[in-house]
Amino acid sequence: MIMKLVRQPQFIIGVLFISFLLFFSFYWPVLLDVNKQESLKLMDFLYDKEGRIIDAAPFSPSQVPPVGTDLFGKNIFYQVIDGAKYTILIAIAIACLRILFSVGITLLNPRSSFSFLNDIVQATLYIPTAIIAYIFMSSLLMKHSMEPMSVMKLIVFQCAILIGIGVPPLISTFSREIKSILNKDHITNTFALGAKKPYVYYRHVLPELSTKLILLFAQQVIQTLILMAHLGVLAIFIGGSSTVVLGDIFTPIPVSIPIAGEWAGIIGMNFPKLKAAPWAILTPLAFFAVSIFALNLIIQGIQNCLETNKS
Amino acid sequence: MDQHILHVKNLSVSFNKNKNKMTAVSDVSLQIDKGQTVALIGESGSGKSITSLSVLQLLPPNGQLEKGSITFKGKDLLKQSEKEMRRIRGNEISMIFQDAIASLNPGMKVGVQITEGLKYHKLVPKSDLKAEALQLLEQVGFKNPAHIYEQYPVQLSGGMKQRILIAMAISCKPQLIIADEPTTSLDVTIQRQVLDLIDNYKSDLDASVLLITHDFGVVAEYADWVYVMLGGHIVESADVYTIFKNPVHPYTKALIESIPNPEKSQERLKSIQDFTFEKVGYKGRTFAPETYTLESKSFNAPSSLVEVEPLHYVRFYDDERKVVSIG
Repeated sequence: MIMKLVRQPQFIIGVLFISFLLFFSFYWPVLLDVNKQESLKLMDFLYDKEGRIIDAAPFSPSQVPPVGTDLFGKNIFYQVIDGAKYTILIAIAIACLRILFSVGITLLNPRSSFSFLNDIVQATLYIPTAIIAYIFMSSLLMKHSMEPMSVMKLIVFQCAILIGIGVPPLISTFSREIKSILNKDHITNTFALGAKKPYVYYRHVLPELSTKLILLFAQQVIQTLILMAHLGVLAIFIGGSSTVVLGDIFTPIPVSIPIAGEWAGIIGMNFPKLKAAPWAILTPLAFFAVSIFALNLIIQGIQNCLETNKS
Repeated sequence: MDQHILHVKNLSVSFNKNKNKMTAVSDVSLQIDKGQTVALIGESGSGKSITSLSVLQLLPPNGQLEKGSITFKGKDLLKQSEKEMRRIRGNEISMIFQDAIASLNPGMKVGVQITEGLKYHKLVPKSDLKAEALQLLEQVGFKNPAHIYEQYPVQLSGGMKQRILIAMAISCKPQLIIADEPTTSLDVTIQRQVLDLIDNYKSDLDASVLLITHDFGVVAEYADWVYVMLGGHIVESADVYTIFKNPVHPYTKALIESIPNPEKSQERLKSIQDFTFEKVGYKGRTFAPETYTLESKSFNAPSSLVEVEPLHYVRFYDDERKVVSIG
C-alpha cells in the first residue's frame, strides 16, 4: 500500500511541498544568508539614505519586499517562514494525537457502536468547531490571566482542547470502520486459530486501516489549520498573547501579540489593521491556503490509491 | 467420564436483532467420537454454522448461548476462561471456513498466514516457521511450496486458497477439525481433492471431523454419522448407512431425493420446496417440524428426538393432539 502511495504524483507533490516548507522554516537564515534576529527585529520607521523618516510601520510590500511588514515593522515574509514550523508541526501533532486517541479509545471496545458519542456528534454537527474551541479556549485564557501558568503548560492545555474537540467525530468514524473489519471472515479465521485481540488489531486491523488512517490524518491536519486560522481571527493564539494598546488616548486600539510565532497569531495580531495593511493578513492566509492545497493533494493521492485498490 | 471427544448437549443459541430475540439453534445435541467424521447437514440458515461457531465460542457479538453444554475431551468449553479457549482454538479444535476468498487476509502473504496458529501457540521456534509453512504447503499438495509461500491470496485460485485454509487449520495438529462447507465455493473437480485432504489428515492423526455441508453426496462419501438440521433443530440422526437406507423424516428424504441422479436424467431435478410433508406422519406421530415454513405456528412447538430404531433418532412433536393417522 505504501509503495502504491509513493507512485501517486499528487501524494508526492503534497509531501514534498510540506517537507520543503518545514525544512525552509528551520534553515531559512542559512539558506537566505540572513541574520534571524536582524530580520525579525521591530522597525518603527523607514528612513531614506540621508536618515530622514519617510514612513511609519506598517510598511507596504513595495517598501519592504517581498510582502511588507506588520504593525510593528516586522518583516511578514520572514515571520511567516519562521512560523511555518510551529503552525505545521502543531497541526500535525494535534492531528496525530486525535487519531491516536480515537483509535485507542475505539479499540478498547471495538464492538461498541458508541451510540452516545454519535448522538453528540450529530447534535453538534452544525455548530462551527471554532465556536466550541473559542468557548473552551477563552475560559482557559481567562484562568491564565488570573492564575498565570507557564507558556508550555498553556500550550499543552490548548492542544488538549483542540485534540478533545476532534476526537468524538473520529471515534464515531473509526468505530464504524473497525467494526466492519472485525466482521470480516479472515478475522474470525484468525481468532479461530487462537489469536489474541491485540495481535489481531496489530497484524490485521491496523494494516487494513492504514490508508484510511493516513487519509484521516491529512484531513485532520487541514481541519486543525483552519481551526487555528479561525481562532487567530478571534484573537486566541496557541501559547497565549500579550496585549499592547496602539492608537491614541481618544481611539485606543488594543492589539494582541502572540507569544508563539504561528500563522494564526500573525493573522490575529494584524486583524485590527486589516484595511491599513492587508498584506499582513493575506500573506499568512496565502500560506495557509497553499499548505491546505498541498494537504489536499496528499488526500487526493490517497483516495486514488484507495480507488485503485477497490477496482 | 465422557467417551466422546466432543459432546454438544441441548445447545440453544439466539440473536438479538432490533431488540427482538431470534432463536438460531434450539436444543441441539450431538456427539463426535475419536477418529469419526460426523456430518451436520441442512439447508442454508438451518443453524449448522452457528452450532460450529458456538463450539469455538466465536459467535457474533449479538449472539448468545441460551443454554446447553459443550464438552470437549471431558472439559465443559462454556466454563473455560478466554485464555484457555484461545489455547484450545487452533491447537485442539480448528475450523476450515467455507469462503476461502474472504477467510484469508488479502494483504498478507499466504506463507505468513499459514504459520499464524503456530506463532500464537508457540509450537515452533520463530526461526523454523518458514520451514514448517513450506512443509505444510507440501502436505496440502502444492508442488512448489516456496513459490506459493510468497503469494498473496489474490494470486491463487479458489481451490488453492481452500488448501491454504486447510494448511492453516492442520498446522497445530488439532484433534478436531470443524469443516464448515469447505467445498461450497469450489468446482466439482477440486471438491474431491479438498475433502480427501481433510480425510487423509483425519486418518493419519486419528483426529475427528465435524463436516458441515448441504450436500448428501459428500456425506455419503466421507461421514460416519449424520445429523440433519432444519430451522435450528436436529430433525434426524443416525449412522450414514441407516440414513441412506431408511430415511424417516420427510426433510431427510427430500434432501436425499435432491441429489442429482444420472439414471433419472429425464426427470426434473427436485428442490426442497417440491416436497410437502404436512400431512405425513410416522407410526401415529407427527414429524417436527411439519412444514418448511418457519412462520408456521407449530414450527417451534415442543418436540423431541425419538429413537425409531436402535441409534436412529427422528424429531416428533410432543403434543399427542397433533397425531395423524397416516403411518
